[in-house]
This record gives sequence, structure tokens and C-alpha cells, in this order.
Amino acid sequence: MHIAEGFLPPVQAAAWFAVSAPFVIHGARAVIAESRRTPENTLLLAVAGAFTFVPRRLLPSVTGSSSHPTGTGVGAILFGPPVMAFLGTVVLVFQALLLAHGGLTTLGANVFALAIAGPWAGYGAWRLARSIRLPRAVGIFAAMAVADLTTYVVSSAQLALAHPDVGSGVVGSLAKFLGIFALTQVPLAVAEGILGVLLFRFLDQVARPHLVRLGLAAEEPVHA
Amino acid sequence: MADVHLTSLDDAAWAGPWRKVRVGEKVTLSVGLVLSALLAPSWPGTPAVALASALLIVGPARIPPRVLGVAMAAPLTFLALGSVSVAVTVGDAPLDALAAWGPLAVTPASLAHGLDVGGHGVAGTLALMVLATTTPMVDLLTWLRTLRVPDPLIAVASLTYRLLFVLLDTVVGIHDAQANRLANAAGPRRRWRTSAAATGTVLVRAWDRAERLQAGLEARGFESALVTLPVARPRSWSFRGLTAAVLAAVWIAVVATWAAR
Repeated sequence: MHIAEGFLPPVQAAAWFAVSAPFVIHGARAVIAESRRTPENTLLLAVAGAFTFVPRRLLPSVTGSSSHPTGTGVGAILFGPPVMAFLGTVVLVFQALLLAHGGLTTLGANVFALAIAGPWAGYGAWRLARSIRLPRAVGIFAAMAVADLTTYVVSSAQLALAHPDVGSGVVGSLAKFLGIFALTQVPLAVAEGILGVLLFRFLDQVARPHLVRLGLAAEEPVHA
Repeated sequence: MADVHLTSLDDAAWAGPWRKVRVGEKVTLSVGLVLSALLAPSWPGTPAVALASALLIVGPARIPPRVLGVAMAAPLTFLALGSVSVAVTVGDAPLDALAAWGPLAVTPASLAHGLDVGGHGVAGTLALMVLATTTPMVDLLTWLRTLRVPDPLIAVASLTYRLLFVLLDTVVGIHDAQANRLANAAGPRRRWRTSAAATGTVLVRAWDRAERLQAGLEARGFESALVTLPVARPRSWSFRGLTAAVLAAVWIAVVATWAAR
């Protein structure tokens, strides 16, 4: 779900940079504050950044397509959306320069979709589920799936605004891009949600101290 | 495929002769070409930028064409798919449609728009490759310090980059181990469990490695900055001249074509 280099008109590319910048700066300040308050968390933050890079290698193939999970839902639950805005930006720069995936002039738009809108929506779903006392597994599933789906909807909207359909305008273009991506991204969002539930169940069994330290588990085992 | 990309681009950057060129000078060249690809009209701007970028990469930067080909394979696929989706219109087929399939159609205008977008994409991606294939990520991260990016941010980005390779190695190892135990031949339920176990194991091992790395760094006096001695790279007037000549040639071609109309 990355918009490739050159796919956005110059004005829109610049506008997405302007929209994303305050979130990334806010996230960067949160990272600086966190690493100064507890230097040992610097490594933990780096782990979170690197971890968001690898989920595509871990999910079983659902559609056989080149789409991949965003991996930002788990980061939003573990570290919060502001931190993910900065870490997501770092990862997107790495992807652009190491994999030629995404781009430089589309970085602002990709950051907004993958590192801001997705994590915030996923985190919102997680907090909502917890506040109405839904089971933790439901909250995790909702966070992962909503983060993925939000990224997909925002990316489609960005492309629709950039390339209105010749006949049916922005609305027709939005329907077109949503329809194309839905083939792969909807199953992937469900798959990412299921994987998230199983992941936290696994972590409950083998890495409970880490979850307790992050405030995601009580001292006693909680079964998802 | 992703691993091949990840190592091959960075390996090429480490081994290439442009490693000795100042990072800022390479950033200027690459970003200049990227912006030219974005701002110039598709004819002759995008072929000019694409050609210049490809020639610079396989010419003076001496990157093997095979490395460039492998690196460009995935982006070219995405660009082609994206261009096709832009070229297809939705709704009632217009009278001037070149082809129509139910609610989908291709018109001369939509086809031109799709080709235009694809051209900008290919040129921009090749322009970005000028930087990606000649500048190791470590050099870029070190260069950020000269732009006064705060040390903790550079430290997190640098450690993220280093942990990336560790995590991907771990992923490959876990995958191989699971495949050798016939995990791929198992039913869907077990495959989901093994995928979750692989994800969790990667995270737990990453945490453990991070804690050990933290202990090691603290023993060496780490607080919030991973400062290393920068490699001294002299200013290169010939490289700056090359940058100016390439960018000027692209824009002269654009202006000349515009004036000839």
C-alpha cells in the first residue's frame, strides 16, 4: 500500500508533506523525550521500528498478491501512535532507499496513510474496545484490522484525489482504487487481525514480563 | 526477493566508486533528478531523466546493470499496475473509447494520463536509485548529523537499520526451521499458529538482543548518541560540475522542446 514515486502531482505531494509534518515532529519529540527519560527504551524503540519492517515475511499467503500487511497496528498498541509516526517515517525512508518501495516525493502521503492514519485509527479501535470492556482478543483484532483498512482507504483516497476518473471524477476513481485494493487488502486486514490475536497469546506465554512492562498485561496471566 | 533487494542495493553502494563522494553532493544530484522527473512535462522530461539516471548508475557509478535490473523489477511491476489502473475509466463507456469491458473502458485521454503517470514514476524511481545504489544507509544516517537532526533520533534510526538485518536473518532462520519440520504441509489452523509463533519469536528475540546490545553500549558509555568518526570526503568540483551539467541538459531539452512547439 505504498504510493510509488512520481504518482502524485507536485502540489498534492507538497500538501501531504505539510499535513504529515506536525505528526512526525510530534512523534520525534516523543521519541526524544522517551529516550532521554529512559535511555534503555532507545533500543526498544529501534526494535519496534525494525519489527514493522518484517511482518510481510511472516503472514501466510492469502491472495498470492504483492500486497502486504502494514504491521503498524501492533506498534500502535505496544508503543502508541505518536511514536509510530516517527518510526513509520524512518521505515518508509528505508523502504524507499533499500527496496525502491514507495518514493521520496510521495513520502508525505505514504507517511500520512501508513504511519499516522493507520496507527491512530488502530489505536482508537483498541482503546474503544478496552473502554467498553470487550475481550482483549477483540480489541487486538480490531486494532490490527482497522489500522490496515484505514491505511488502505486513505491510500485509495489519496490516489483518487490525484487521479480523478476521466468520466466519473473523484468518486468513480475512489471506487476504482478501493475495488482494486479490496481484492488483497481486505483479506490481509482480517489475516493481520487474526495474526495479532495469536501473536499476543504467544507473547502472553513466553514474554509476559515485556507485556507487563508496557502496561499491556496484568501480573497474572490473562487469556485472550 | 526482498532480501535480495535489501542486501544487493546496499552492497553495491558500499562497493561503488561513488562511496568516496560527499553524501550531500549525491543527495543534490539525486533529489535534483527526482524533482525534475516530477516537475518536467512527460515529454521529453521523463525519458531524459530516466536515461540520465540509468547512464549515471551503470556508467560513472559503476553499478552492475543486473543489480539495477533486480532492484527495479518490483517497482516497475507496481508502476505498470498503477498506470493501468489510472488508464482505465469507470462508468458508461464514452463514445471515443478505445476499448470497453462492461463498466470499464480505456479512452485516448485516460490512456495518455496513465502513460504520463507511468513515465513520471519510472523516471522518478530511477532518479531515486542514483542515491540508493551509491550511498550506504550508514553514510546517510551519519550525514543527518550535519543537518542538526537530534542525536536520539539518529540513534533510533541507526539502531533500527542495524536491527533490520538481524531480524530478517532471524525470520529466514525461523522459516527454514519451520519448513524443515513440515510446517508448510500442515493444515490452515496449524499454519496460523506457526506464523504467530514465528512473529512472536522474532519479537522476543529482538527484545533480548536489544537488551544485550543496550548493556554492551552502556558499558561503552552510551547515553543518547551513537557518534562515530565520519569518513573525510573532500569536496568534488568535478562531481558538482557533473550534477550541474546533467540537470542543465535535462531542462535544456525540456525548454527546447517547449520552444519548438
